[in-house]
Amino acid sequence: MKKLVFILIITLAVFVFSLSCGAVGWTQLDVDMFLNIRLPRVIMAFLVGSMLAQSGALLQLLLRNPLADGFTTGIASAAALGAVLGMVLGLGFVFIPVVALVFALVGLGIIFHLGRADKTFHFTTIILAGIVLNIICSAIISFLKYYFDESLGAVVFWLMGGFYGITYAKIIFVAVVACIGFIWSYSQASTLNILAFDDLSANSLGVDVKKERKKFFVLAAMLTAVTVSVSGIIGFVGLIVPHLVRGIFGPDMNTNILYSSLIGANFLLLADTLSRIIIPSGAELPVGVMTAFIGGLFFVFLLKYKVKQIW
Amino acid sequence: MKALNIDHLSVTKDNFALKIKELSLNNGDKLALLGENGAGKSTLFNVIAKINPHYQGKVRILGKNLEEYTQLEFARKVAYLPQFFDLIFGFSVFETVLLGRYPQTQGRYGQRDYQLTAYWLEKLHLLELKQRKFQELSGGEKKRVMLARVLNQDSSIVFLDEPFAMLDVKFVQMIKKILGQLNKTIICSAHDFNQIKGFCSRVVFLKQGKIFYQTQTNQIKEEVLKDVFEVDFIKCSGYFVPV
Repeated sequence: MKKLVFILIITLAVFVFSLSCGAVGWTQLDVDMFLNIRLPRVIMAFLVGSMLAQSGALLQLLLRNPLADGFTTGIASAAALGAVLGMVLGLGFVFIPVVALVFALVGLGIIFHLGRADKTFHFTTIILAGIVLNIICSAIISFLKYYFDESLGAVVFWLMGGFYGITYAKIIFVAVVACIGFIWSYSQASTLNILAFDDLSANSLGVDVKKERKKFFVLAAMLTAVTVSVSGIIGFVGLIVPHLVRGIFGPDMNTNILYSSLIGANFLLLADTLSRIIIPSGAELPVGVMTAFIGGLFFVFLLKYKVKQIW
Repeated sequence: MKALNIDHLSVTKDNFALKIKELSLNNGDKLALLGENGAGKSTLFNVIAKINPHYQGKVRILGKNLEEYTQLEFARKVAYLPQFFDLIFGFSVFETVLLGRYPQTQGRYGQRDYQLTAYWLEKLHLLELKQRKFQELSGGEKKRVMLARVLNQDSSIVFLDEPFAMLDVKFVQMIKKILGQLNKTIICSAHDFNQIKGFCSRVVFLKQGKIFYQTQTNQIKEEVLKDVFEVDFIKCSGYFVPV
């Protein structure tokens, strides 16, 4: 309980810090700019960070893979392809996440199919399948960008990951999905713990492994697809945060889901704030670049030193 | 009511077929399944432990067909130790054994669950290891932890697939004693007849997917062992030694 209060206090501090930082200083900021630009962006970064970390926590468990998250498995790229297609077809905001979800699920299916090739579901096979999916989806997105040059100009920046043009309508939509995801996975955390066992043991403990795994895969894909639809591909939050949380709070999914959500939210919010203020001229870096940089370094660290200790 | 009743069971997988005409067990019976690698022991376990639903014939546990149980209901009646197991994420030994209470509690662990967990940890000499991470243990230690997890399930029927593999002799003896004292129906598979002697009253020999022979444990003859394992045995103070 003390830990939770501590994290909540940190969350509040990060929120205040993020709201006070930006190209326009606190003193020159008017109410309109604060309410319509900065506040929605801060809330959205918070929600997206939470969802990415949650989907990472789920994917690492379900694929039994320490290197899995929406980005490394290629699900995010598949969802991005869906979202780009949605944009090409001129679909409205509510439908783009739906198309992204369908593509994310298809992507997941492809990873499964490729991963099954060696019958072991070894984690390197899954990651290789993810790389393949990433390459194919990126190629198709590049083709679409080339072909629909005019209408997809904004896609380039969006794909790098970032929070632009955030409206309250989007926030409500994303918040609803984030809440559904959190309540669903948090209420089922004890079942998720059983999925840490091999399939035979988990089945013998009363969990219908196939059914539960499918359910949570759809949930992870949904979280990834919705985040991609609003903020492009933001990698590595889902990879780093669940590991960090396991290292600090232990493996129990009850704590992992809760703290991954909170710490993921704080992490992305801080990264976004940093990306807003890091260039002195007032220009900003796409947040995806920032998380990819931090995440890439963490990836190296994880591969070299820590896998055995927190996995 | 029988604990287990198998009627014309048939399982086919790749080039292997398991066919069992009839096998039944009364409550409290302790049965050993013996046979070479690939004789069908694990295949049989995976069917009667409600893991593999692809079979023909009838399997009844405590008077009910397997299909009539939900996975959770079944786990409250039957605990199963598979031959190979795994657990990711760095769960401690204590947490691993506590997870055995899941079928009874669905994750809402209370005082009684903690007490039972401590009981089985002590019984299987695991108290010293209780804070250690499961993945960091040796093969034999992992086996004992999983056995404690299975027994912590507190079900009336227990299936154990090769529980003695990788165990030190002193733990084989200790676990045989514990299993012998349990008032539960047990089916236990093994490679070595000597490992099940002392706590299983009945033996079923499997060979190439069929019941080759069944008898009381104290009536086994060298010739049967020779036919099953294709090695000569001599009897020495009630134990069989391959020569």
